[in-house]
Amino acid sequence: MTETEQLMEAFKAGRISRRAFLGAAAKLGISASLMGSLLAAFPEPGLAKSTGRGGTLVVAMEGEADVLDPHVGVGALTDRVLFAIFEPLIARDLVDPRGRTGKIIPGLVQKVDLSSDHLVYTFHLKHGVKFQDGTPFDAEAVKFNIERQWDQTMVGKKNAPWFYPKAGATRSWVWQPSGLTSIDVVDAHTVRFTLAHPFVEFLNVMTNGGPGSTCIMSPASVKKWGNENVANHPVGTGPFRFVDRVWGSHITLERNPSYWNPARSAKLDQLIFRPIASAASRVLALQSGEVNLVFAPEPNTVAQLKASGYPVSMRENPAIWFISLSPYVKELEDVRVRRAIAMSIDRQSMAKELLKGTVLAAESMQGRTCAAYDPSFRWYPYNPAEGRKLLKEAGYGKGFDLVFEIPTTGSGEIIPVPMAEWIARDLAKIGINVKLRTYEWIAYITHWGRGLKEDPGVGINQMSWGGQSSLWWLNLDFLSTSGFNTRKNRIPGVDALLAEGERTFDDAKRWMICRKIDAINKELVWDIPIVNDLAPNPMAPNVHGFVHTPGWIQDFRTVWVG
Amino acid sequence: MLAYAVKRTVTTVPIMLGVSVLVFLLMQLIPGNAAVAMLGPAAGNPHALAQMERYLGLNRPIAVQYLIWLGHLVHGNLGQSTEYSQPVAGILAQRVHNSLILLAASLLLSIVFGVLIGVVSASRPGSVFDRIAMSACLVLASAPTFWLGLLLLWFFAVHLRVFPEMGMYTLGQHGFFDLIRHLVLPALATAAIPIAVIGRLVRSSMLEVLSQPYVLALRTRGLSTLRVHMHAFRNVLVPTVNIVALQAGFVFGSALYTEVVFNWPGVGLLIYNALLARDLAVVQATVLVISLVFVVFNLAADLVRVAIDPRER
Repeated sequence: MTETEQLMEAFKAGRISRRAFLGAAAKLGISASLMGSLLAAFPEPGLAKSTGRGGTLVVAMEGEADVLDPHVGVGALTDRVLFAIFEPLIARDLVDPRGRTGKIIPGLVQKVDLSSDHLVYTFHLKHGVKFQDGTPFDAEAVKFNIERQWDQTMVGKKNAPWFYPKAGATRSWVWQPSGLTSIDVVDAHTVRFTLAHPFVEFLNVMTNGGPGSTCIMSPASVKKWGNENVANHPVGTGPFRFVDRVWGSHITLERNPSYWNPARSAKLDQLIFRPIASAASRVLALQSGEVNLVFAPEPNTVAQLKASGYPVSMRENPAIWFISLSPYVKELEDVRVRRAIAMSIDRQSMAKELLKGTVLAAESMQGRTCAAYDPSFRWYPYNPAEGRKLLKEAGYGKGFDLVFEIPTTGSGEIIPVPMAEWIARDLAKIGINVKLRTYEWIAYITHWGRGLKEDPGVGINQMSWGGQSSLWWLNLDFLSTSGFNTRKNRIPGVDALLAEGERTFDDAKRWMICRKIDAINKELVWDIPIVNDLAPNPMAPNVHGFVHTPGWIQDFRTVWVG
Repeated sequence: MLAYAVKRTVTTVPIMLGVSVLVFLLMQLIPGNAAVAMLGPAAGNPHALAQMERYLGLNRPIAVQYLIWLGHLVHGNLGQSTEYSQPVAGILAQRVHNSLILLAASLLLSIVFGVLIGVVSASRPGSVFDRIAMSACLVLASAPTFWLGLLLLWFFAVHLRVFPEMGMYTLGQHGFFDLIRHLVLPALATAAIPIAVIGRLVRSSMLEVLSQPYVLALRTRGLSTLRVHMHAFRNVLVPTVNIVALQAGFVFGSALYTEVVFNWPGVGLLIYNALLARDLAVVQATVLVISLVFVVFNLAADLVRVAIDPRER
């Protein structure tokens, strides 16, 4: 028995307290997130007791869900559907209304062992789990799923025959940095992942949806329908099972009657997703009774809906709507100019007046539901007089022109053009003449992905996202070599701190590193956090048990209609 | 007549080919491709982007991509949708069917109301009806379709609750009357502009014809007003057929707004989503179908014109 297993046994048997367990685990170099997994050897939390169940929930979504293949589908919108049908190996408890971050719970594993060198993760899988097609969930199924999305040529190996290049591309940002070198079946319910180097966020990242998804599909379904077509016949282990999809009209799921965990089974009889591209039509559909839950309403309709008796749920999540300043524009090379910009944007008023309280003014480049988020950390208060003074000191007292690139719409973008106009209006007050340049979403992310260096003359661009894994998210946004860093500049000290963070398995210490990076950004002002979306969900009064997600993925298992 | 029809049909082939080249080139001009659309911000990972582009064949020269697409088309294969992971033909067939239903209903409303308004207004120029009808036509022709659609939705679906708010059918139902209930509002919204255009054109054509000497001759021979108008209307049919054909193409291609507002799963909504997803195969096929509808309706209009106007024979 390993030291970790001995510790687990002692804790399970009640021989040591929780505090002693956590302390001993920390000495073994096990992170709190991993401890979460270890603790998860106990049964997952059940659902809050409620009197009702049943009914049909019709959800109005902002658009068509992507393909229902958890290894290919991208975006929070698609994850709402995927995570009802499929489950990952490691998950987050998204239906605990009190949990700030969505704590890590076992998905399809009982527990995870980590070797002392932090290179070998041994996943002990749950017994008795079956896919919705009746085939068993086991170690071979896990191996099949990982090999389907892991491009082994990156580590000089040959890909499995079932490797799917589309999945390989969308999931490469997990398997590439994690340095996965092998996945081995130890026995029917044990799988071993071996990494080339310690990757502190390995378990955290596995809980992600979208490009980090480790959701497990039925290998039998993939073999039957093929990689391209299986998305039209999705089979997982989740609380809902697929019934039908009519493109452009709806996706219908129903409760999985043989769900492996009765304590967390779904309450609804049916869950229907309807894509409605127009935000105004989504709200009208709620008012006419055709749907009973709406995603992404226009901010200015929320108060009116509340006044008409429609409950509106809002909650903090990892989203950050932020702007990046270009290191390649002469005026912005001076930190005083960047600070002047930071303190001249009235974020509070934007949140209250323009966005009608559906967002909070952002204070940090950490999402509010990230573990490392520091609630006491504050961004520059609104002070245009000080901003003007700083500009004058920097020699730009007469102001200057700046180009601001922005999408017209997009995933999590709220209402980007009016928000950019608000920023432009604020900056005009200190003499900076902002010219907006708008793009349609895909054209925009193409520009954004190439980076500000390739966009000469552009001073500001914008993005709205964030990750629940603190260091992982900062790595994407701040590492000078990251493909997701639109500035692609080396901020003094940040790359080294990120590297240190990757070696730090003590969560508390790692979070301090994240906070240091946040403080450096505040000092040097390269990214400016603007608002955190509260993602309002108006719903019909007959919808009960809805728990707003603190993450990106909405879990519908607690909901019932009646 | 047959020779004329065959000749016109043959001339559509180069038109369609030209349209396909144009669309293909236009799609190359706009930034971003299907790989970026599928990866989202993850396209910032160069390895992922390269892998996806390779898989989708987007790393090949543009000319090669086009020829491959054309080769498939010749064999009746419209390609595979990158967004839907399905053959384009299957997706498009369903959407075209849905759009044709909307088109037929809108055209029916446009022709009936447009012609009626035009003829009645022309028969009493300057009357109260004429003034109200022409003012209404001006408003309808100027009203943005999505705005009108939302207004109709709010009043009839939310306020009065007499018509459903979206889609083609109530979930779980596929009855004819259910379809008709869902069709009324989008068909009205789509028909608004064509009604106004046809109404104004028929009115002005009728007025022009009614001032011709032969109409005066008919009147002096003691024919009733109805008979005179029936004679006059035959001469208005030619420009009416032409404008109806043009409006049919317009309605089919521009039903996007209606389809987005009413969530009608037709080609408008399909091409909107395909453009956002840079789903080249779907965009190509949809534009071809829209062009085909334009060409077919204009061909039909030419044939009808020849049939009803002896001078054209």
